[in-house]
Amino acid sequence: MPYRVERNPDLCKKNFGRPGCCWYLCDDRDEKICGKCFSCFNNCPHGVYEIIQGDPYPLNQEKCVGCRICLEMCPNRAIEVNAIPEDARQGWGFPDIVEIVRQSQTASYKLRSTGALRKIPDFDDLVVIPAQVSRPPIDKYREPCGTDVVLGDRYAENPLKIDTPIMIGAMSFGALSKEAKMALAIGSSLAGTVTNTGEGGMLPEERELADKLVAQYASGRFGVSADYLKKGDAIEIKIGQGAKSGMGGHLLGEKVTAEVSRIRNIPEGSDALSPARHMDIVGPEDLSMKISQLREITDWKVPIMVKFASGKVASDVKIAAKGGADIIVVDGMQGGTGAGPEVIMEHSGIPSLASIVEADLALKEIGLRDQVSLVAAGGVRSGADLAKAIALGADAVYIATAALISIGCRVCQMCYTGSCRKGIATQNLSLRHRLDYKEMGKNVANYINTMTDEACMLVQQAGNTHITKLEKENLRALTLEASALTGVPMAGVGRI
Amino acid sequence: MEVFEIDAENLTPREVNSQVKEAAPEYDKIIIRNPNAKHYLVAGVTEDVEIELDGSVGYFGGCMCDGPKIKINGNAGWFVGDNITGGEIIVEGTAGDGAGQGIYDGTVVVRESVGSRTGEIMKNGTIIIGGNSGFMTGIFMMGGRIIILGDVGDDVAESIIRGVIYVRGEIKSLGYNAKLEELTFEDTLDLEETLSEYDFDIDDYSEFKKIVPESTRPFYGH
Repeated sequence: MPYRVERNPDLCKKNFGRPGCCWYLCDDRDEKICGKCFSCFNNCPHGVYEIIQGDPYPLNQEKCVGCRICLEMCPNRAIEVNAIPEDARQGWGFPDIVEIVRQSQTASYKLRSTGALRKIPDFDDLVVIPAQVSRPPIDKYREPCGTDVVLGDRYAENPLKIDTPIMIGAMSFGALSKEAKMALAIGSSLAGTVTNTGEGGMLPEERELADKLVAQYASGRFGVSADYLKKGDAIEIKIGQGAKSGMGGHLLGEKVTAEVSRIRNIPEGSDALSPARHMDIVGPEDLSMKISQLREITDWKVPIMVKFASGKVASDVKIAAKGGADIIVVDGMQGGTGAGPEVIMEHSGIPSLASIVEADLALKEIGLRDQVSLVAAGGVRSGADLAKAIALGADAVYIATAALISIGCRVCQMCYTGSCRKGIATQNLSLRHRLDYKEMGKNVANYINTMTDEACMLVQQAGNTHITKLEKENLRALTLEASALTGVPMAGVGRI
Repeated sequence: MEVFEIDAENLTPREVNSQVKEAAPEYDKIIIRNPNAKHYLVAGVTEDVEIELDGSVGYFGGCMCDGPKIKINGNAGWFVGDNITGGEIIVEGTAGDGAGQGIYDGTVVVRESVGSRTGEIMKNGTIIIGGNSGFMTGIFMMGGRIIILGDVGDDVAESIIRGVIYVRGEIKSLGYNAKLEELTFEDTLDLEETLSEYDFDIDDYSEFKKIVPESTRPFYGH
């Protein structure tokens, strides 16, 4: 969707007769250069603005992705960003043309952050049906709604016991700043849930602040040691992630600072490239052996999770469950990333809706549904999404992009550049100072608690007393596509 | 020296490992009799203790250890010494694929030949192979050194970005981003010091060939 960016010159110069003023987030105030310091120009991640005769102008409008960071950071409220209807000539939209021009001039595929952004069937295509006379609703204001869940109690001595089925998904230190990792850790603890190291090793501060922390074990094995695994409250074998299915993680050397290098145990400034597959997991037996190996290292104490990008969901889930996994994560194509090729994000994988149903069914087919916990990931934004994911068959969900939005992210899709204006996806110290991790930690907890509360409302109005009690029969589809993907009957006549 | 003995004959790997971890802080040496090629033996031990396995081990022997000196009086299956972050593992016989996979530090020594993909994704540390090493030795290597006294198979150092591989015997072919570099005098001294520590007797250290990355950034940004 293209955007129109407008700057009001009168508002822009309302202070001291000069454009903007850096008081809002000035990192290094210097009166001598103040007149040249323009918040919109400096903070736009996409180079939309240029300085013409001393004034910032949004000249490169085609580059705008609608993040509105310029608007948010303008001290004079002089900027407006509005989506405009797509200019399409049959299949040839303006963004398509801009991208073809870019490719023809740079000979490079498009790299960006986030995940699939195009319209695909999602949780909004489903509704939770209310209980009335055939089943009475539960009173939200007077009667309790249980939200606690236990995950991974199949073999682990110490399963994950959390107060809400909302967990924070894997995002590595390196991709994220230390402050962002600390904010997520604080938020997860305040909300009584769990966060995840991602594949970049474990920050001591993260371990200290997080009551419960999943240690991820990815193909590059960065920062992995016996000590690392033993400090985790669960181990997550990352086979894939929804945003870049079939691809390994790439952290460019520019983001491997001294501290990242220490945590990942690799040289400073060196690229951290994870292979597309685990070198020792190339078949069903290998996965089973890997699960056993990790159990031996962690003395059978913590749950072993296996995370997949959603593709051949039924086969993958059955292999992991039969191989001994305690918890399986299916990450739909809406799942996010800090860096990946757009073509993979938009054209590989299946929607989260479909993957949850397929995974749930696969576990039932092999008689392991009661033993193996199922976590849904990819595009979860609200309590409604949580309730619907659980109704479709999940035991819990991951949030990641949504958690970052709660600490300031505006989905500008430029995490990979390392110059995040909000101090989240960067190692730049001056940018990191912009993130107040203690306050943002509270935001994360507020957001998770509110989501949980929202889900409870839907659960109770559907006549249930615990968040995990929602079932597929409590749902109706509003679109044929969602109905066909999930098997949820259409609203009204109820036919699929 | 206080020695603790475990008879693994009728124990599961979980039971053996549990006993090892319990005994490691208390004893100087642990001897495991009848390992019977069981998998995951001595996984994740982080004490400075000597461990001797009196026989062959299965897959992932001595994996993810940090500190112990492990001696295997037999052969090892796939991925011996996987992801160790310190210490030493010596296999007196042969080993399967992926010996020393992903190690961060420490030393993995296999006195005879090994399978393919030796030292894949290793970040640091040293791997010494007394015999031959197979296909794609050092694939995706990110640091450290591999020393092979025998021959090496096709595509050695495939997609290597850091680290070095020394080969005394024949090199069948180099992988993507691998190149041969002239052996320096310092290299020979370093090889001599390392190999003599493990009782390898080499007449002429100048016979070694040295393989290094062509570029540290072969995939993009170069």
